[in-house]
Amino acid sequence: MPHRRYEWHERVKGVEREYRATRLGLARLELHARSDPGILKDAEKGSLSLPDAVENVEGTYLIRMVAEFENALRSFWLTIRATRPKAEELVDGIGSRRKILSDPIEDVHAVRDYRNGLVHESEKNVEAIAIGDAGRRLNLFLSRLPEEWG
Amino acid sequence: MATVGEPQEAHDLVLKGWLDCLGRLVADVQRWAGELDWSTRLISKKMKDSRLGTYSAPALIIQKETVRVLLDPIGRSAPGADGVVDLYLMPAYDDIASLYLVDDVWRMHYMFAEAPTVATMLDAESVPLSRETLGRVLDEMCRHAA
Repeated sequence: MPHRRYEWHERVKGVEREYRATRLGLARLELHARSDPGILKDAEKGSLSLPDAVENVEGTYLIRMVAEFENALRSFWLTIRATRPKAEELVDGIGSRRKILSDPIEDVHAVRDYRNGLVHESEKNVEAIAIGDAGRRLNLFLSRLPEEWG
Repeated sequence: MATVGEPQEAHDLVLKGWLDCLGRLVADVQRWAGELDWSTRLISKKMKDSRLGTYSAPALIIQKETVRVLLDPIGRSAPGADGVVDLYLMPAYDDIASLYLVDDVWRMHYMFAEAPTVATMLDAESVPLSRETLGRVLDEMCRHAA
């Protein structure tokens, strides 16, 4: 795993860029499918579910983005202690060690809560967070890590 | 990493051409930023490209007072362009502008404050990258931060 902060920033931002490319592709596909619905049939596997793909694409990429962020934190944490805390404790533990203000920590927890809601389909009422906003919050937290570690 | 059917020399040539091109861009931006009273720091970025493989490319951090901007190479392969580089406002990686290499000229897509509102940055009219256009963007960053 990388030990340079900028590479992790880049991984988080990279997921957002991939999301945008996929969203653009889906939008174009939707446009084409209006005039040619046949393009949504896969000869071997039946109809493709374009509406579901459109509805879920942002959440899918947000889950990946949070995974990259948590990998960054775990990579840094291993230079402090050889343990594997739960993600929530990881954020709080690094926040405390790096003297990160409570607002950016809460911002990250809000992104994690939203991600957990997407993964576990929890009934908990959590604030939906757009992927661009999620990326901002995660990168702001990451910016409090040293430039290199390990 | 040469792909199937592509000789190693051709692959090396494409990679060298791209890195030379990025090197010239970074050197130009570094010089212009210095002339505009911004400090700069060169960093290396690890790139992954389906055709060019893994390689290191130059990136540039540009800073004045509390405003920090990153000139970040994205990749060589893009439809309609021979290279893409983004400008981000640090530390949140907010999108500022995208640079596209078209016909050997870096063109910048940026929503200038006085320009008509458009849906996304890529819909903004592009301008050739120069010391003057870079300076306008950096000035706007400072004004937003103030």
